[in-house]
Amino acid sequence: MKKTVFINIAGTTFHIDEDAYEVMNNYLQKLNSHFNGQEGGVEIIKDIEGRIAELFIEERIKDDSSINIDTASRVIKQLGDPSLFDQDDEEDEQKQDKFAPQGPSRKLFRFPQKGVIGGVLSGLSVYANINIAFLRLLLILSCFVGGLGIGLYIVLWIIIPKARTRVNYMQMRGIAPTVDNIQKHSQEIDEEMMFRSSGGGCLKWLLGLLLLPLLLPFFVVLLVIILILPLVLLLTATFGHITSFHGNMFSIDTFELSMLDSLIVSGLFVIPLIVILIFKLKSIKWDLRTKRWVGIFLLILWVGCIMNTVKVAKYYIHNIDFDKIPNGSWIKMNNNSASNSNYNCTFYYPLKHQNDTLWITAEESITDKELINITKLNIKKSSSNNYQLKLKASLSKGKLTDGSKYYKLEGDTLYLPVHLYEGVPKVVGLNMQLKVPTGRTIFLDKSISNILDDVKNLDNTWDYEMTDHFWKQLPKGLKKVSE
Amino acid sequence: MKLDNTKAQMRKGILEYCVLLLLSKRPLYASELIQELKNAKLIIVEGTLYPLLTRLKNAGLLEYQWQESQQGPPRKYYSLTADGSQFLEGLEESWTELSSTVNNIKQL
Repeated sequence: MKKTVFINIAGTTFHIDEDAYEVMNNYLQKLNSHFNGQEGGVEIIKDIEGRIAELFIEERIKDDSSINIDTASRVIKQLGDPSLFDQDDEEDEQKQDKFAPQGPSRKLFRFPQKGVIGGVLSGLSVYANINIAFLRLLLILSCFVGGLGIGLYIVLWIIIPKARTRVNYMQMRGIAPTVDNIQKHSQEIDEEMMFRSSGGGCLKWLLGLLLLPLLLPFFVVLLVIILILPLVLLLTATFGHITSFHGNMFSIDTFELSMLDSLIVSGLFVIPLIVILIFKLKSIKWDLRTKRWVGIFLLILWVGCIMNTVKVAKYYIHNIDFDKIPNGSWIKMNNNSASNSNYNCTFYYPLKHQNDTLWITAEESITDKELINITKLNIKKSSSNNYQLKLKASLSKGKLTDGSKYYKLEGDTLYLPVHLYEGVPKVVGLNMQLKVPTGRTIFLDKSISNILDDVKNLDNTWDYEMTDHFWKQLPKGLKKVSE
Repeated sequence: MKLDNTKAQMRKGILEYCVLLLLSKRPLYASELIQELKNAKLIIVEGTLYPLLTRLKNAGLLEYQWQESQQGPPRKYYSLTADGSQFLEGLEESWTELSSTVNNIKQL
């Protein structure tokens, strides 16, 4: 069985075998690059195409079947290599020099005839001239890194085309698909192409029948997990996990996705997209010298992204279950930003408080000028049924680790942190935001009057006049409750 | 110094002259020219002719007319222009000289 294609040369349509087409196409491209920019180059190519059409028609009169590779090769030989066309003797040798080292470029194909599953590795080994056993070992090892190898293999399986024609095999090896080379290498190529068709056919059939339907859903699920999980986790608002519990003291590790982490995770999706785009645009023409390193670089980058995503995802995988924390517990928040270089920490703390009124206070009145300058508390409407405390701390040095943050929800009273500023780490800014659910009432204690920052309310009351009063969260905003 | 190389250079030298000579008798299209030149063993690969024809045409020595063909693409029938005829006369002279020079040397 042979695949044929339709081509149109000089206004005439021909039926041509696929391998013959590739040889022909290669020849015309060579002509194009030879005459490109030369005076009358376009006309010369048109004339030559006209001659090709004539010769093909002659062939068609003799034999009505499609143009095969032998005919194409003969026609090309008859017309001659462009390097032989030149008239000027002096230029002749130079031109030949110019053409010789330009060499053929390699293309990456899958080589299932020599492979076990999809021929990805055998294709790679031929393309990059690496021992296949080494590649296989590498793949098997990489499967243990979070199933990395499996995902990688499937992606490559999808994006790399299969070597089908003799020309493909030569391109894979970097042999220029010229007429001479096809004749010279045809025997070895045919041997390799037929490698599995007799004995291996059965195995291939079995693999296709048994393994694929069984393993494909498994592979797909694995791929989805590898690719989608970090994205889902990204969208989840609060991260962290309870690390210890002593008496009524909870220790919670919280995380914030740093810029770097976001980039790494997005790279997981962006890099394959880039690769697919390159492949589609270039229709898999990877020039050996110029573009191979780009591919290798992207591959390394992608593998790095996967490994880092696994690392990041491990942090995010444990969601805080705040419902498990009883009221009145001390909450210690540790910042464990995955990148460990983040001096801006944001914490969310849903306050589980069901009673009507919450008293907001500090353990002692905040009067220190330095403290007042850097501390701000704003009050907003909560979109959920829970109170939320959002805290953004800027640190000049150190990290917020143990003992540096204490919140206390005791009975109906929320104590805001005031010991945050002592010692290392040095806090240079603290923005607190309390979110109050609709219908609930808060009482603002005098001790926090200095840190209230431009709190919007329906009564247009100044911040410092808001303390010592009850405020009810209405859908439109805070409303003073008249006693 | 290879014999083939020298031969090829000699062929190249007179190829232009022969093309003009053939076209001075009657208009021909590329494939007919190729046939004639191949019979005379003046060209080995056909592709050589096309750049030559285009070059001569651009130099104003040749002109062509399109003619439909029974089968296949329309053909360009090349013929000499007035300039081409003049050019050919010049070449004739030079050829006669050359050939008599060679003959003279041979008979020394």
